[in-house]
Amino acid sequence: MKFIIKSLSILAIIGITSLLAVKFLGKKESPFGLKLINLPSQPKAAQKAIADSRLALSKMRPAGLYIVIDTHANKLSLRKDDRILLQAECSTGSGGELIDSTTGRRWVFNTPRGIFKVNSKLAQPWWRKPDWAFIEENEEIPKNEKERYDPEMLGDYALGFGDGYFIHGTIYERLLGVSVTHGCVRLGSEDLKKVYDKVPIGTPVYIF
Amino acid sequence: MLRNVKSVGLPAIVLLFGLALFYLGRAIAADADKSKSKQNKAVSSAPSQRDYDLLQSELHLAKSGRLYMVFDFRKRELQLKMKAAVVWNYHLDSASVTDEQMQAFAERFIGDQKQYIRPISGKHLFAADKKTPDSVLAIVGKAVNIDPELLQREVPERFQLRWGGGTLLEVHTDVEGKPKAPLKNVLIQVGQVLAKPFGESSLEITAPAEQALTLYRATSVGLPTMVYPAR
Repeated sequence: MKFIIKSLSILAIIGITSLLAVKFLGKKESPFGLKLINLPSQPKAAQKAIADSRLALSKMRPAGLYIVIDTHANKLSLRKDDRILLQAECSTGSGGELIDSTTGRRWVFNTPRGIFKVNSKLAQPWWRKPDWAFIEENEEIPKNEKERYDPEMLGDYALGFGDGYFIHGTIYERLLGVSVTHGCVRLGSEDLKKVYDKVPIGTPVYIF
Repeated sequence: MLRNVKSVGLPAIVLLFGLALFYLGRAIAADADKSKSKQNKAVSSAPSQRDYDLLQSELHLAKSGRLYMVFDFRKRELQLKMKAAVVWNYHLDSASVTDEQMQAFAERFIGDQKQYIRPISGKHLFAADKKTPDSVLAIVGKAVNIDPELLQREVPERFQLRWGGGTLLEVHTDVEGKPKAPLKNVLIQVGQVLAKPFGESSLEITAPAEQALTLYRATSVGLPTMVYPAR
């Protein structure tokens, strides 16, 4: 009799624990702070609420052209609505790190991710070499500003998207598709010309 | 003899009963959830309320400005988005993903708890191949002063993304890769076989290597995901 009671108790405990586990384990996920609002009960107000939400969402989308840079596959695409107008191989940041042994300054060569805008368009751009370009080559940082300029490195065009980052050409076209840059986005000369011609200042740039 | 049976057999019986009760409990809970879901559907899943919930959910994600993933079954697309703009998309053709599979996936993803947004809860790479030979990257790395390992990309042969609620996406490519962790591969597969009878909805796609590469690298555990059901 004792044994039966013991067994039944164990079974009951297992059963209850299992039911509780089933009930509560599935509720662990965070809903990202989302608070859903009920639709207004009046049909007209409900329609308006939905229309307003649709409008708010569509206002967030770019109205015209936008550039997408996929740092994972090293692809740049020019999109409009749901269409890809152009897709090109590019090179993005290597993720490499450089430390200046004399001053301790540190650089990480990543292409920034997020949403930016084309804020400048330059034809025949010259590159003003930053300090890291000299440190990387074990060269002395020049005191004469003129010694920093390189007329060839950026190719024929450059499109700035903030903080000194550009979409530009390259003399290393064979490396397109590989993440070798210091953070800028390199394109082949033909694709760069097409992008330069099509894209106005203010075009959104999505980098992921 | 009877004592031996008691000492060995009874714990086994208790265990078996326990397991039976566990599965019975799950079945009862599932039934209860189903009937609750039917009631909910009748009351609150009028199309407009669900549409509104979905719109609010995407607005919430879009406002963050960060990357999120969308199964847009209305367009038969898998998308990566930022601020409501599509930055990557893959068409789910009807040969590999049926309408019924999409429906089952959407229902399970959203579930009775109305989870319109779920984070990726698991990711597993079964096999992959290096995109560029190491020897080539060694030369490139030396020329551009970069550690060749940073330049390497693993192109997946097969990987899985999982969400809560028993939803899973399996991506294949035509790449012939090497298994990354053979033992873990087996354990995950066994786990999924065992979980299947208790409800799981999976989609399986075969994507071009470059598309799979982006999807694999851009998605990480925690990435918010939502589903637009076909209807």
